[in-house]
This record gives sequence, C-alpha cells and structure tokens, in this order.
Amino acid sequence: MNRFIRALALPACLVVGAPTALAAPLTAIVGGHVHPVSSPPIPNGLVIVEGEQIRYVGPAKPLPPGATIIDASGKVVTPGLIDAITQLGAIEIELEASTVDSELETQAPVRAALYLGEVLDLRSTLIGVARRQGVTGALSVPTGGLVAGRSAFIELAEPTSGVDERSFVTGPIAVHANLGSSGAKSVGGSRAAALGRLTELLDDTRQFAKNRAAFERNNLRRLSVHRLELEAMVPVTERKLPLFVSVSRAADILAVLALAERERIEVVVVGGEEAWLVAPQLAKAKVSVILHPLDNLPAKFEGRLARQDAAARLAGAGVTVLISTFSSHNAGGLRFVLGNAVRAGLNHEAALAAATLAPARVLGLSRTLGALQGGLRADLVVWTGDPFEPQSHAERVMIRGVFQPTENRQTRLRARHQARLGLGGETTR
Amino acid sequence: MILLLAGCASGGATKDEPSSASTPVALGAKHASRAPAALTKLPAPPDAKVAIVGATLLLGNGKRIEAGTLVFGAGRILEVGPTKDVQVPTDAERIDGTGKFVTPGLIDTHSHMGVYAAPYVDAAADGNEMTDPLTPWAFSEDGVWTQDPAFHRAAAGGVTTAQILPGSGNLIGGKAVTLKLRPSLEARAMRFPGAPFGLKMACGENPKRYHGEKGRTPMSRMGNLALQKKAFLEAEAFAHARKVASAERDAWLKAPEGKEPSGPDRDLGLETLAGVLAGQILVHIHCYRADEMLLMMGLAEELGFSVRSFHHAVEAYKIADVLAAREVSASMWADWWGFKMEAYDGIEENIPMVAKAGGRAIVHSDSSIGVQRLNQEAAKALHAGRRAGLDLGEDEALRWITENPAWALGVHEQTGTLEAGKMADLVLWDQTPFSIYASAERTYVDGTLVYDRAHPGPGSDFEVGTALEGVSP
Repeated sequence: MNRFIRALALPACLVVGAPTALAAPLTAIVGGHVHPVSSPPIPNGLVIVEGEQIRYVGPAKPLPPGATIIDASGKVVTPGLIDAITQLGAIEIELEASTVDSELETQAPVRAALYLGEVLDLRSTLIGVARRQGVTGALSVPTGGLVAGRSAFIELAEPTSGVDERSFVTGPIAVHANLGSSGAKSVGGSRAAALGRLTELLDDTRQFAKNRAAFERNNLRRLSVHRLELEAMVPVTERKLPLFVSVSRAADILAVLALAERERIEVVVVGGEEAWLVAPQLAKAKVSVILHPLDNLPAKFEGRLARQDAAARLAGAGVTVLISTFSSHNAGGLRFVLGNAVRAGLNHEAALAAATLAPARVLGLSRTLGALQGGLRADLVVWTGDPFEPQSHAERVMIRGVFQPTENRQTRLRARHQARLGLGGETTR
Repeated sequence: MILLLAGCASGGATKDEPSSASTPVALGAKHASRAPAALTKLPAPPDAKVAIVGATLLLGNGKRIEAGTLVFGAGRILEVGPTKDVQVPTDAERIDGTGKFVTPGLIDTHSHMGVYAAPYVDAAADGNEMTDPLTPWAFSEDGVWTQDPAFHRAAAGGVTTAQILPGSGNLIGGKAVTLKLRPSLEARAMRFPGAPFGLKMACGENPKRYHGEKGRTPMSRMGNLALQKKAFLEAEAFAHARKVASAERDAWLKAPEGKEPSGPDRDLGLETLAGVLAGQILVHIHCYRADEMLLMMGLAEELGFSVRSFHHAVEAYKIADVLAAREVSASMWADWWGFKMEAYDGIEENIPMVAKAGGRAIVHSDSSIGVQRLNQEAAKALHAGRRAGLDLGEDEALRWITENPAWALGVHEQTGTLEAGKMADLVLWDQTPFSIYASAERTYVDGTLVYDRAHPGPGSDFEVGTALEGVSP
C-alpha cells in the first residue's frame, strides 16, 4: 500500500541493513527537534515508526536494522495538526449546494440525526491542500439549526488501492448545537427559546431512552422530535458523546455551563469570542473552548468583546484551549493561526498542543493520536523550521506511518501554468 | 440631497479634492453646487521631527538599508539613509530602531471598512446598492461609518491607506474612495488628498446570481458583459454630447446670439463613467477567472478605458504574462480559494507567479480581519513561491503591500515607499514583518501617530465603555 510513496521518498533516504521479511516497515526520523507535545521537546530526537504506529520517541539511540532513515537534522518534528472545526470532506464548493452535505436547508431546528461520517469525500481536493500544510486530521462538523447534527473525525490520508479508506473516518465524535443568535433564530428569535428547546430535547431523549418499549407501542407522551433525532441524542445524555455548543457571548456561555451542570452532560464551547471573560468558570467546570484567535473584531454583536489574546488568557486561567481555522478550504492555514495566537501571548508549546493533543483529547481520540509517543498512530510532520512561520513548510507529512504525497490539485495546476509560461521551472522541493 | 449630489460632482474641486468626471465641464452648473471640502479638519501633522535610528529600513521599492535612519516631520519624510550618512536634527525625538524594522505604511486596495462595518448587522450593511445591476452613481464614501472598529485594528496592523469599495453585487457598484487611516468623524476628511476615485465593477457569479435570482438581467455572464458594455456606450454618447455642447457654449459665450445652449442634463452615473473614459477614475474589477479577465481587458480596449487592477484575481497566474504586458495589476489573496466555483483554481503561488512574470502583484484583504495581517499574507505568498522555485526576495514581496497597491490607487507619487519628500506614512515593526510573530509598534499616517502599541488608545466610539476600551488589538 505504501510502497509507491516510500519509493518516491527513497532518494533522500538510506536503508540500514536488510529489511526483515514480513515485518512491518520501519522508519527512523533522526536528528530533528522533536515536539512530542505530551512530553517536553527533545533536541536531536529520534522517532521510530513501525507500520502504522510510533514505536519510539526519545533521545538518539542505535537504530533498528532495516529502518528507512529520514534525516531531520535542523528540522522540526511534530504530531500532525488537527483542525477541530471544519467541513472537510463535506463541502467541495461552499456556494454550490450540490457539493455541500454539512447543512440542511430544512426549517426544523433539531437535526441531530444528520451524521456526516458516512458521506465524507476522501478524494475531496480540499484534503490534499490542507495536508500539504501539515494538517493530518480534522473534525468535519455539521452547521445550522439549533442542533446541527453529528460530526466525524477524518484522517487526511490519500486513499490508495488496498487500503480500507473508510477506516480514515471515526465517529460520531460529537453532537453540535448552536445557542446564541443563530440557534435562537431557528426557534423564533430568542436565546431563551433556544435554551428551552434544548432542555426539552434532552428531557425527551431521556424519556425515549428509558421507555423504548412504550415508545415503540406508541404509548409514550408526545415527544418534541422524531425517533432518529432522539436516538442520535441518547449518547449525549449518557455522557458518551459531548455536546459542542457554538456560542459567543459571555452570558450565553454561562448559560451553557449551567445547562451542562443541570443536565449532567459534557459540553465544549465553540467560538467563544467572549469566553475570556468567564475563564475561571470554564476552568472550574473543566469545559474546553475551541477558538479562532484571529477573531479580534466585534464581528457579531454577541461577540463584541472578542480579543486577539483570548487564547493566552484562557490558557492562563487553566482552560483547555483548542485552536481552529473554522475553515475548510483554508484549514491549511492552521499553523499560521497558531502563530498568531503565540504572537498574542500564548506559549509556543501550548499553541502546538491546541491543535494536536488538546483536540485529540476533546474529540476522544487521545488513545490513538495527537502526540508523538510509542503506541500512538504515526501521524506526524517534518517541518523545515518553526511550523508557525511562513518561511517554513511541511517537508514530509506522515499519516498512519505512510508519507503522503506532497502534490495536490493546486500544485499540479501551478506546475502546468508555470511550465506554460516558463516561470521558475525548477521546483526547490 | 444637495450635498449628496455635490459629493459626486467636483466641479469646483479644491486642490485637495480628487479629480472627478465633471471637472472639465462647466455645463449643468446651474444644477450643481460646489463640492464642499470636508466640514471637519484633521489636526495638522506635528511639526516636531522624529528620527528612527539604527533600524532596518525596508523601502518598499525593492530595496533596503540594513542599518538605517529615517527622519520625518510636518507630515513628510525628510531623510532616509544609512545611519552613518544621516544627520539627526538635534531637536528630533529619537527612537532607537536597533533590531527593529521600518516599512512604508501598508496599503489595501480592497477594503469594505466603514461600509460593511463591524458588527456586521443589517443596519450597517451599506456597501451594496443592489437595487439595480448598474449603480455607477453610488459612492462608497457616502456609506462609510467612521466608527467602524476595523479602522483602528487595521492601523494596528500597519495599514495607513485603504481603498473603500462598494460591494460586488452589481456589475458597476459605484465610485470608490481612498482613505487615509487617520481617525475622524467624517469620511471625507479621511480622503487621501489628491487621490483619484476608483470605479468598482464586478464580473462573474455575484451579479448574475443576485440579480438573476430576482428574475432580472443579468442572469448569465452574457448578460453581465452586455450590460457593462451598454453602460459605457451610453457614457460615451453622454461624454460626446457634453463635449459638443461645451463647444457650442464656448462659441455662444464669444458671440451670444439666441438662447444660451444647454448641455445634457446632469447624470451622476454617466458622469462617473465618463470620468473613467477620460482616464480620471481608475477601474477596479472584481474578477476571478482568467478568461473573464481577458474578456474585460478586451471590453476595456473596445470602449476606450484601461483596467487598473483586477481584484480577487485567483486565476491571475494563468495570464501573468498578459497582465504584465498590459500593465494591469492584480489584487490577490495569498491562499483563499474554492469557496465558489470561480475560485476553484486558486493556488498558493498566484501572487509570486504574477510578480515573477513582471506584473504588479498586490496582496489585498477584502476583510477586516485580513487587513490586519497583510504582512503575513505577503510572507505566505513569498515563501509559497520560493518553494515552487520562484526566485523572489522579501524586498520584492514588500512591494506587494506598499508600492504596488499605491500605484493601483494612483497615489504612488505620494506614498508607498520610504523616500524623502513622500508622506510620512510608515510603520515601526518589532521584528521583520515577514515573521508571523511581528507586530507593529507604531503606525504613522502623515507623520501623525495613529497607533502606538504601548498606548493603544480608545479605538472607536463603539468600544468606549466596554471591556475593550484601551485594549491593544
């Protein structure tokens, strides 16, 4: 499956000894400045990958025989970046409705049954564009309504023959709700109504889960939504799935915290422009926040106290912060968004965690990925320098132990017209 | 109403007024009133001299001075050179520039600050007069809310000049104004002195979608082009009638016989388009696709005007040679793409390919978030290009956000580079502006400090009395 891609990488590699027959291929990434994220950075570190998994992360040591060696000296090795709020695989062109699966045009406010995981397009041209910038995983999130639906996590690997590509998708990961003005709009225009409908939905879900037999006999009080919606909500009431709530205003965030406590559900704040104002309450409730650190304008009335250093302030108060582009076509800009969070005061290592370990934990995937440590999936990036700086780039992107193609539709378009116009010609990489 | 009319004429333009369509023609004066100057005045630039000593000066014209000193006063740059060659006046305020960088103030050719102000509420959406696909009579300045918090944020990002455009819902959206980012209650007081107006046109999906959905022309790209052509043919006839009438009137004035000849009635839209045909108003076209840009250049040639800049030109790389040969600039994003069909072929090397082909490449924002980081966008585009083997340097890339947009707005003789005699529009950065971690420490417009990171000031009225008053963006 991965031989073709490995072959491409060969000229820059050396093979030590003879490969052991039938053993999973070994790759050793040597000499890099390694950021495991789950543990302190290692100068001149070594990462050994066996098959799909990381076998070793630590200081240099003798290499196993048969390993393909990748020289990363002077380079930086990090886990692959994870963008926690995208529509990757669910949108090809936002304004062409036939290419959009992430939002229903229905008026119904509750769409919990909408699950994106089974329809994500793993050959979407957006995936290669994001991957080229070091993004290896993303949550693909439904939008709209009071309850938008359920998200799926997608590993941005190139589907190749012989690979079970559906295994790139994991989910459902969360149920997504909108409070604040957009959710309010879907139920008549008041935040109070939105909160009321959500509370009712949770209550109905519990009724449904407790009395399935009665429900099937049509012997249960009338519930506010149909069966599939209720089924989709059951894991939320059982705390098996988190409820991601898009909300901006500090007051609305406190309402979400109160709801979570009252209903005993797990919530994550998405957007949270004014979350910094209620950072201690978020920290105390152990509620994470997914932020877009470039948002420093009162773009919405309900987020009029947005500020650029929100990530640093929240992290400083002990809140788990995730950083996202909230974009699909420009999910590849994640590293620059992280850089801006650092510019605004967030610690560099914390920024890296905000797009690796933190999303892995919040999405319930940290037993599989999100850091560089033995036993985790080998989703990693070798950068030519500081990942957040424009002058660096992702030189190698590995997903599940396989170095991914660095070309995508954009690079092919560029090369075609570059050749036609006689511009530059040679590529440096 | 009279003021509104007058704002679009400038029959009696003062020296500081941008030139406009009706300038040369006195006819119709009975309907026109003199375009007033701003009713309020910005404070005069401080006379006190300021010297930034020992900084890296990135001049904006493709050159740099590694250990340089720059002196400015009374709104102008007085001296720029290597520190050893510059005599710092004894009365100048000295700023130690060691380890820091100075650039010209950044310039955005494509902004909707003020006309699509934050917060983005319907009540403040004043940039698209989508009641008709042809609204050359509309003028962005009339829709500018000067308390848009974005103005101060942009200044904090090192931006000193921005063209405020009408939106792209219409084929001809209206006249555009170029503003200097000095705080004011009055947009007209912020006008860049002497800057020509722009005309905002749009190709492609937006006009045909919006108007077509309403069941009116245009519903297709065919309709787009035909209506644009029709508008200019009318303007051509209008300009001709005015010229003829003007000659008749001159003759009548010499030998008054019979009734005083009257010219065509005033028409704000046709006056604007006639101004375009006369080369006094610069044409800025929202246009993504290469084929459409070619179509529009052909149309312009046929009708007798030139295109100054294509905006959102995501396919400019495909026609980089044509753009360079015809001296048409391209205003581009570093990496936005794909959100609509006509943006599907966007690539990260668009800007550097246009530059490498010898064209005038420009980084524009079209966003009140993006305008705050034009330097980062230039850095992203530069390094994407270098990775693709396009041999370009930082000094060239800086031109994409300084000298080139200044040219596109017709203000390049006054700003856009660090040269003695030019306006003191400049930025002091804490490190190279090509780093993601760089921040502007100070931004000066006309030598006036409009942003000081250490004392960020209150920002707009909108933020007064909130938790953000005095917070640095």
